[in-house]
Amino acid sequence: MTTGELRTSVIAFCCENSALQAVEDARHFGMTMPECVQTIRVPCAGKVEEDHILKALESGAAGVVLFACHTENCQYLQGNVRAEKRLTRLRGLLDEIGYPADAVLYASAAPAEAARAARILRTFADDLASVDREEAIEQ
Amino acid sequence: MIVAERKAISDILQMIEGAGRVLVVGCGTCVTVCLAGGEKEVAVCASLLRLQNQGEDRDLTVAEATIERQCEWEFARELDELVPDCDAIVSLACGAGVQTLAAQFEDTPVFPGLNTQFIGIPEEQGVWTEHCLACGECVLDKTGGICPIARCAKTILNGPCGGSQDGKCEINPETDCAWQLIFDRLKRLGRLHMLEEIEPPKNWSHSSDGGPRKVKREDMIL
Ligand code: SF4
Ligand code: SF4
Repeated sequence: MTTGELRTSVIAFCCENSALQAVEDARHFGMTMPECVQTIRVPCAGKVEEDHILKALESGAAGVVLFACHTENCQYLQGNVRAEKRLTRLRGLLDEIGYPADAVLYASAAPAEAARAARILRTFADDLASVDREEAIEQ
Repeated sequence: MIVAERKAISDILQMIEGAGRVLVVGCGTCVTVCLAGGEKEVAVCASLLRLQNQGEDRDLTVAEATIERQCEWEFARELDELVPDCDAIVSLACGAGVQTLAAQFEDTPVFPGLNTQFIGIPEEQGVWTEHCLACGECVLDKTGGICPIARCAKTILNGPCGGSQDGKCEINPETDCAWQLIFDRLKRLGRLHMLEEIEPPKNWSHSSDGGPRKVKREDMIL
């Protein structure tokens, strides 16, 4: 895939214990989902590091979602807490370089919440599309 | 360990202005442990530099490398093949690491990507505190293993001062009074009598006041 193709895409790092199932079900049941979402299965959202997300943006993704379990539902106890904190820090880093911080999103969904996962991804993709990313980056 | 923090990306960008090929170098020792300059932080710093550059006209390539210890020649030399291909190095090591690279690669500008803070320990996950000022003449034997030089705001040797309140230092209610800690520790060890000895003024010439310091082991010199 070329950088140009990816620029319209959303990469969703999905915890395999929760959000991954929700996103897969949303697809399976034909819920309205943005076409541009690529899911990446991770053992826990807390395993996703800043550099993974930055690499995704560098490769041309318009936005990155870090999809975790709901509060106090993490199989590894603190994975989602760490993931959320890490994302907040990452937004600060993006701010530092003048890159739109809303290109990264932390979200949570339970395995059975396909509709919720689809809604989050739709809203995120719509928000990204409403901003001219290239222009926002250049500013 | 030596504890450091990354400089603002805007500061790093200013340093490397005009350079087209930049090598960001991490160090696998202290600054990896304090999460400032290890392999991951190198990846993050390099990504941020590249992403920042995406909207710019300038051609910028950013390469990444992390060596075991930047402050040792053997490891610094591992960069011999990479450095000729770059216009500038951003070192994510402590000041000693930066200077080792600067001495090793005389024709390439080497810039500090970190602010070296102190010699310290991890107080809890994600928090580091200063514990030693490298004063050159350690007094921990007299102070129950708690350093009054680094951990007392006034570096006093016969404390506490009048500002010690409820175990906290007058500079900040969150900072423990080092002399309260010393008192408590010596009491626990049954060695409170040690505080009856008046400690004479410290000879600061063993510290940085004596100029740049050098340690020699004659038997090791070839
Ligand atoms: S007394 Fe000096 S050498 Fe010992 S811990 Fe304190 S600053 Fe370091
Ligand atoms: S309050 Fe304690 S730590 Fe603070 S300056 Fe006084 S003796 Fe030192």
